[in-house]
This record gives sequence, structure tokens and C-alpha cells, in this order.
Amino acid sequence: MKKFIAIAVCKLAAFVGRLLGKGSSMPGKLALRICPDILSRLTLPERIVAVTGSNGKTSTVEMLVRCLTEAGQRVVWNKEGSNQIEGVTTMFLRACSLSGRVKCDTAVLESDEQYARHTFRYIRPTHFMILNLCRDQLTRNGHPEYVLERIAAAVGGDIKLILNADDPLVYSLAKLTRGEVVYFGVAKGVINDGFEPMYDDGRVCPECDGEMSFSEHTYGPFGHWSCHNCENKRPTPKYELTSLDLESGRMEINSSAEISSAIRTPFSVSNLLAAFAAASELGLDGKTSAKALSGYALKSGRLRTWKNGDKNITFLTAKHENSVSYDQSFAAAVKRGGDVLVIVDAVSRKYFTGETSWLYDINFSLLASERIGRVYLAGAYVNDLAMRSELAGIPKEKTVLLDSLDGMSRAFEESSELYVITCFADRDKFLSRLPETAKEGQGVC
Amino acid sequence: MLKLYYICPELGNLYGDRFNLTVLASALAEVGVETETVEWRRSDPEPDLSDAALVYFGPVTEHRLEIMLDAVRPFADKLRAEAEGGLPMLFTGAAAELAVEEIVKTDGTVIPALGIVKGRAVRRENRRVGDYLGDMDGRIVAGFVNCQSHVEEGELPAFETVFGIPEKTEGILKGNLLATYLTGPVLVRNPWLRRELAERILKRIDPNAEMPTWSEDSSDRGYEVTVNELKKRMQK
Repeated sequence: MKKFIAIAVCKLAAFVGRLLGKGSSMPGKLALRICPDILSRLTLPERIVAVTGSNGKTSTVEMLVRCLTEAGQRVVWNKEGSNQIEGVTTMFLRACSLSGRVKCDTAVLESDEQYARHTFRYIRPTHFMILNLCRDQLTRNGHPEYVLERIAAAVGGDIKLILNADDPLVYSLAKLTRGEVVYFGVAKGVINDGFEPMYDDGRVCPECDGEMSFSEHTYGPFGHWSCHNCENKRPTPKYELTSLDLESGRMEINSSAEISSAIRTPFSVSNLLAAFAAASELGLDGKTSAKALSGYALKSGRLRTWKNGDKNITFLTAKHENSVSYDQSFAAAVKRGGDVLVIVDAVSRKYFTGETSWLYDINFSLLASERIGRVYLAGAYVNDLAMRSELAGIPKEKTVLLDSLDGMSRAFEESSELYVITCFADRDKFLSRLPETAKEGQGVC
Repeated sequence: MLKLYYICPELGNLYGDRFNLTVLASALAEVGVETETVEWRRSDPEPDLSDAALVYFGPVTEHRLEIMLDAVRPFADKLRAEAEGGLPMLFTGAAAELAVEEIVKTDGTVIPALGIVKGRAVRRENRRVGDYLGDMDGRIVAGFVNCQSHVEEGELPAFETVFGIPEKTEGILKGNLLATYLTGPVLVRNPWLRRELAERILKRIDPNAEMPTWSEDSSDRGYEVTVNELKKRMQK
């Protein structure tokens, strides 16, 4: 009876929530109050894929779901992105019958890296993909080793792991399962960010604590690694990115599957590779996945463009408290050349926080490039941005501190090629100040 | 040229704290003092600290702190002697655990630390995370706490808590040694603390040196914004 009531309440709450435009986790929360082990009482699909990691969960899940649905599968997934147990509960209870049968071929869960161990107490994924572990939201995640411990607590039994070969911390999870482990990774010489990361948490061997080195960094802090002290080294991936042209978006996996994608950043390419690997491990043939991934543009709006007369404005999403996303956005701006506007106005949605140490993990010195004209800085943290820029060696005469968000209009007026880099949290502050004459174009990612 | 020793940068480099040394070096350069940052890694031979103007340990993961301890323990006596002799030392983040006598892990295991100052670090299951304001002789320090432990029964506390943690004090200040869990980086976010440390470095070299008049930069304005906003939060 409890099960029935929990399912009914969740469905009703989700319906009301959809009408109000909110509530991807509240329905699940209510259901869990009524029946705390509701998830273990459901008849779940045969295949459940969980995806976790510091960067790229949402994108990878989106791409994987695309592959599966193109192959004709019925897929249930937490598309609103609510990835803790309440959101996962909402997802399953919305998709199940009143008797608790979840009617689909595959469930795909975006899973929060800190809470996977709680979620998996009630549902055991058949496949668990870990994308990467890097410095992300350290205010809640402490540091990558702390997150690694949390994820390790979720691994066990016969779960099949799909792991990033280029990340030594992720690789260390392989020994925790009795099940199969497969890897994805980027071949040497295929991606070169062109800059060294500001930090490298992969220098200590997770097996013997010895010193490790990278013969090549492919993107961010990842690449081809080996330990000087023991046999530990990058495993050979089953799915390897063997060629890539970021200009055209054309790439090859295992020198055979050709994909022509709208993706233009190394991290997003890595996520695409991960999605391809997971789809293959779920039984899809490479051609079907390659076709699904070709031309697919992420819905998340991570790159948007506008034309304002003869001026171009490009919005490049970054994530506050995430150096990898900022580095990728800065690198994209440098590659294309122009001026940059960095906006940091709200770090926490709830209150002002003085925590800006993540700025120091970002490679701001990229903006010292001759290909960048002016660097405009805006937001409540403008002084912190200014200090960071000084310490990065960006010449003061190049830096413009805007004394209010409305000062963005100066950047729009002065710059003919402007890259606006900020987080989703501050995006609307930029969008609401775009000139009315600016016309949006077709973005890529 | 003054040498600023950065011990185990390959391990203790969380939260951008290597920039503590960058801004300290800039402050000294502002007053005409050249510095060199010497990175000592665990594979290097034991360092000769007799030419050090400062020794720095940066924030480290709990696991890597034990690796750091093993690497540094062979010259712990040297560090203690130098600290007694007034060599400025700075420990930030979880590296603050290194300075005390012992560390109590979450499973109850006790591991000896460097014993440069009295006290012990006791680790909790969960991390403590949040903004912090503290008072050192009427001067406010702003930082962020992101750690699993707290130093107990320490020597002279560094800061009296104004906001942010339940304990009345934070960190340890003994002579020219400062051990604090605060990150920020703490010397970037607190220009007065950076200049205070620079002056201690200068005074150790020449006790009669005239202290400089420091010029302000964007970190001063950033500091004011942070302190004012955190004080507003306190009042809510």
C-alpha cells in the first residue's frame, strides 16, 4: 500500500510541478518520506547506466540517450539534471506503472558524485561510467581524492565499469569491481590543448604513492601517464579517439567510426567519446552511435552567438568553481582572437561567499596572449578578478574594470569581437543587458 | 636574494595557495627585496634551510599529507630548530596539521606530526566548509575553511573567531610561525597579513630595518568588499 501511495503522490506532485515549471526532486522527496525504500520495491529495467564525474555528466547522458533512442530503445533518464536520490526517485516513479514496473529498455542516470553511494543502496546500476575527477566546486567536494572515496563507496559487486583511461584517479576504481572494466581514452597526438594545466593532481600514483609523470597531456590534467615506482600506467582503451579536427568537428573512434559533430572543445569531445563507449557496451553498433552523434548539438546552450551590426558577441559557458571549463573557454577565445568579458557576480546562489580560490586554478595567463585585445572584468568579484589578472601577467593597460554590471554596455560598444565568459548563474545578467539590436545566430558547442 | 622555500609543491598545492608565495614575493619586490622561490620535492636531498627567509607548506589532501610527513620527517629537528630561531614559517589549509605534535585520524589512529608547536589535530568524518572572519589584534582576517580537522590544545591561537566556525579560535601563531586552515589564498585575500609577514621576514634579517610604506592594490579593495559582505551576512 505504501508503495502505491508513494508512486501516486510522486506522479501527482510531478504533474503539478511541471505545470508550475519546477520540482524535479520534490516529488521524489515526498515519495521517499512515504516509503523510504521505494526504489528497491520497483521492478527496474534490465539495464541501468549511471554516469558520474566532475565534468560532463549532463552532456554525456544527453548524448548517450540520443544514441539509445536513435537505436529504437525506450529510455528513461533524469533529463532535468536532478542527480541526487530525490531526483532519481522522481525519474523512476514518473516512468513506472502504479504497480511499480518501470517500462523501458534502459535507464540512464546522471548521478551526483558525492551521493552515488546513497542512491546505489536501493538500485544497483548494471553499468557505471566515471568520466573524470578534477577540481570542481571544492566548497562542497573538498578535493578530487575526497570525491574518489565517495565514488569508491558506490562501486562493488559485479558492476561493469566504463572508465576514463586518461585519468589515473578514475583508473584506480577498476580494482573495486568483480565485473568487467572497459576504458575510453584519447590517443597520443590527437588533442593538444596547447597549454599546461595550472595544477596536476595526477602526479601521485594511486597504487604506491610514487611519483607519476605524463608523457603527454591531452586535455586539462589528463593524458598518458605512468608511475616511476611501480607498474601502474594508463591502460589501453577499448574505445580510443584516433583522430580529431576541432575546426570541422570531424573525428574518428578506433580509426573506424567516423563522426561529424557540432562539438568544438576537447572536453566535450571526451564526453562524446564516453557516450560512444557506453552505447557500444550497451550493444549498439558503432555505425548507429556515430550517426546519432553526428551533427548533434548539445541543447545546453553552451556556446551562443549574436551579431550586432558589424560586431560579434559570443557567449562561452564556464562553470564558476571549475577551472577546466574556464580554461576551455579562455582557450577558445584565444584561438579565435578578440576581446574577452569575464563576469563573476554570484558564486553561491544563496549568499555572498568570499571563496574565490578556484580563480587561482584557472589559467588566466591565456588572456595575456596577443590574440586577446581587451579583458573586461565585471561583477561583485571584479576586484578579485583584477588581482587574479595582475598575478597572471595580464598587462594593466589591457584590463578594464567595469564598476557595475551595466558597464557591460561599454564592452558591447567598444569591441568588434567579444567573448563573454561566465557561468549559467550569471548568464541572465549578461543576456538582459545585450543590446536590443543584437540578433542571435546558430551556436555550436 | 632571499629564498622562500616551498616544501612539497607537488603535494601541497590545493586551492591556489601557491599564490601565497607569489604575492609575498611581489610585496618584497615592491620594497626592493629580490626573492627566489625554492621548490623542495620529496625526491630531492634534504634541504639546507640555513639560507631560508621563509618555509611554506601548502594545502594538501589528508592522504597526501601523510606522504608529505614521511618526506619531511627526516629533517623535522631542523625545522623545529629553525622555528625556535625565528625563521618565518607558514602552513595553510590541512598542512596546518603538520606543525603540531600528532594527528588523530577518523579511525582513531594517531600519527606523529612534526611537533614544531604544541597541540594535536583531530579529524572528523565530515568536512567543515565555510567562510571565516577572525580577529588578530584588532585586524580582521577573511578566509575560507575547507578541512576535516581542527587543531586542539594548541599554542597561542592565531585568530579569535568572529564568524564561521564554532571554535573560539583558529590556527596557531608562535613567534614567526603561522599555521592556519584558512585558504583564499589567505595572503592574497588579506593584504595586511601579507605585509605583516613580509615585515617579519625583513625584521629577521635586519631587526633595525625601517618598515616600508605599502601601496594599495586591487586586493585591498577586494578585501574590503569581502569583509563588509561577510559582516552583513553575520547580521542576518
